[in-house]
Amino acid sequence: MRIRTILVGYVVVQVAVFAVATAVVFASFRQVEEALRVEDAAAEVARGAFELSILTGDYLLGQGERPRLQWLKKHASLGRLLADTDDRALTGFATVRRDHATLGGLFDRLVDVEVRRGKGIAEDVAAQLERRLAIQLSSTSQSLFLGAERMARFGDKGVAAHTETVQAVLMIVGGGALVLLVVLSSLLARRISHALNLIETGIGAYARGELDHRIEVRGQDEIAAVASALNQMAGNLREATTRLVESRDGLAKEVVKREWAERELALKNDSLARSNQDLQQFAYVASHDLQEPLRAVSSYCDLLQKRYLDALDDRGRKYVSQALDGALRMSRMIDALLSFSRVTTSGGAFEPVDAADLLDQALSNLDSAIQEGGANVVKGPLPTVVADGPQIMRLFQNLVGNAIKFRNETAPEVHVTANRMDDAWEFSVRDNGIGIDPEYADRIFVIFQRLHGRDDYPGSGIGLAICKRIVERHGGAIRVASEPGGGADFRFTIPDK
Amino acid sequence: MSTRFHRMARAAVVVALSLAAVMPGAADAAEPLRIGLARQPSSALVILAADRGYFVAEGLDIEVTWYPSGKRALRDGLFRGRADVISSTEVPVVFGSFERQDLRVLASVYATDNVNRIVARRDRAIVQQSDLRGKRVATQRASAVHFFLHLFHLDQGLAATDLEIAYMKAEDLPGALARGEIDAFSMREPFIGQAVDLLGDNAVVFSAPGLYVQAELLVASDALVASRPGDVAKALRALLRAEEFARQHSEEVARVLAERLGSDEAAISKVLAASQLRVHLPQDLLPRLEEMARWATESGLVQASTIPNYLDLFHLDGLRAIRPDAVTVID
Repeated sequence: MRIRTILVGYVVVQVAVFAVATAVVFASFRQVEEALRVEDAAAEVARGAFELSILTGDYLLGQGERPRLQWLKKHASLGRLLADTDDRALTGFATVRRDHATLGGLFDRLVDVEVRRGKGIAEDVAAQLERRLAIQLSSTSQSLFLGAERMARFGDKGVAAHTETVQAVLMIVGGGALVLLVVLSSLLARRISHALNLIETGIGAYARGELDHRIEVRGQDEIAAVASALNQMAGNLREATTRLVESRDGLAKEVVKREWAERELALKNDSLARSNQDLQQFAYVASHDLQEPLRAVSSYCDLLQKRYLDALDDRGRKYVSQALDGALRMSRMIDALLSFSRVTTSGGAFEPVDAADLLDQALSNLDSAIQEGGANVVKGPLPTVVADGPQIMRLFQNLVGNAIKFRNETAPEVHVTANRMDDAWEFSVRDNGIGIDPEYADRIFVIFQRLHGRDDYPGSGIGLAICKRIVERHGGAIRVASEPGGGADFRFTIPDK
Repeated sequence: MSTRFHRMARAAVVVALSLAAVMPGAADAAEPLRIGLARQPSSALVILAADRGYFVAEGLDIEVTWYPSGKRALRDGLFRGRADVISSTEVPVVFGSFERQDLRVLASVYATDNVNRIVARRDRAIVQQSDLRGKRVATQRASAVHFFLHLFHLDQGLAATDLEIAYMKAEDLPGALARGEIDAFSMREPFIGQAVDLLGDNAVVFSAPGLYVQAELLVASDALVASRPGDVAKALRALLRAEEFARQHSEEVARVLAERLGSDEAAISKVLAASQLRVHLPQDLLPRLEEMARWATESGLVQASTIPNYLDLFHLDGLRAIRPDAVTVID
């Protein structure tokens, strides 16, 4: 049973007990009131009987007219009182009424004796009758008074009895209500206390992590519901904990895996860095060291051409000339390679530099090309960035130079602008030149990759590779958006540090 | 020292008597209490107590012996040792008191003022009450009906010598009247009814309501009161319970009495309506007994110069111990 139901039931019982008690007490009070009325009536009858008893004695002493009239008047008034009182609730009322009637008859007989005296009744008979009647009258008068007095006494007892009844009822009902209160309260308290102890023990067990513990509260009340909810919660916690432990173990394994992977990656990075460094060192050394024998070959070929030109036939002269061209091209390639490697090996420090100034320097270096190509370079507002100034200048120079070089029949139009990105500046060098097939958008940034013949567009084929390397050294990226004949838009980012 | 000893001895006696009174059978022999009764409504409380089992409930075994009248119960029962307690009106007790001083009135258990009648033969020129002058009128000697006859003729202005009074046994009266041996007799039911049945229209019945207030007394011997006080107390308690029952269930009383007395219930109810069923010892009983004693002596029915002190004949302590307010005798 729910505690709320018990409490509601308890209140209902209390109200019912109170209602019953009120009804009983009210009824008892009515009885007391009735008993008091009866007591008053009995007392009045007793007083009348007492007065009549006195008047009886008074009359028997002298038998005069005054006591006779007084007696008759009192007897009549007592008769009326008895008639008015006529109440069966009065103990002995019938006897009193009977004695009153008997008394009246005897008194009439007694008075009649006096009347009959001298009218035929012998004196001795009259005297005997008078004495006998007087005794009867006196005796009945006493009986009447004692009966009335007894009736009044019973009236007193009736009041007392009803009063005691009221007291007893109040005590019984009050006591009963108190006992009921104590019993129900103690039962409820025991129930709640016992259940709360179990719950407290259970919560303590949960606090210690004993999630398999179950709170054994029986019943279907609110506390049992709380205990059930706690048990459910503990079960859920148990499952969640199990899942968390499994997840934690999984994560730990993953962490170990990642640590191994990171360690492996770091090793690979180190290896790669070393390899890259070695490669750069190799490229630098190779390109630097190759220059000497190449110059020797070129020098001897040149001497051969100058001193032994006449000794050679045409074929020989052609061979020597081609050898000199090859040596010269190789020398340029080695220079380009050396320049490419120096982007990382000989880079300057990063510091705030004005991109506009660097562009101006680049344009100054390209002045002859600009003049020759009739190019128009439009500059947008350019920011200050933290970068290697000379390399950025070279970056601008390569891109603007390419824009002028790969022009079509129309005069080159180059726009250099910059846009603010989230955490970087994006620079754009857009031209109206011959454009690039998007298929080759990546290939153009690879070293020595060329899309056109050397004769069409002279160059070492390393410019954009150097641009890519410079941008990447600054932590940015470079791409191109272009269509053949539609110009090209080279965009690179420099992080805003 | 002596005074102190007396006090202790008296206290011991009182304690012993009290224990004897309250402990059933502690001092009384385990023998039944023999009660002598007349088959009449005046025995109502005893009959009722027996019928309701109040005697048994009090732990008292009783034996009831029926007599034609209370006087016979007194004389044939109590005086001859055939009954321990009898129920009788005052007159036989008064007459008995001149012979035996060991009578003890335990209580008055019934009272009425309209139970006695004069039945006469119409063919003897008796039409009204005063016609009894010179007639032979019988009654049971030294009984309530005898005293009623005395009051009746006085009330008619007749002296005892104006009537020829004859004495007979109660049960012989109806037959004597029917046979014409007497002109009238003073008696109560069931004998009045028997006479009326015998005479038919020839019967004339006179009554005098209120002329004689008579009481029924419960009487025992002094020896019994002294030897079996516990039984006396039990008997009184049973009668008081019967009184309480009668007060609350008057119709049931009439039914029980009609059944036990073999009478008509309506007639019994009528008698009970003019009766008082009460266990008490009233003060006014003393002058009435004394007046009856004076009548007995003055009329020569008893040869005695003085009348007994009836206060000495009253056993006040028995009833007083149980119901103090039922005893109004001033002692």
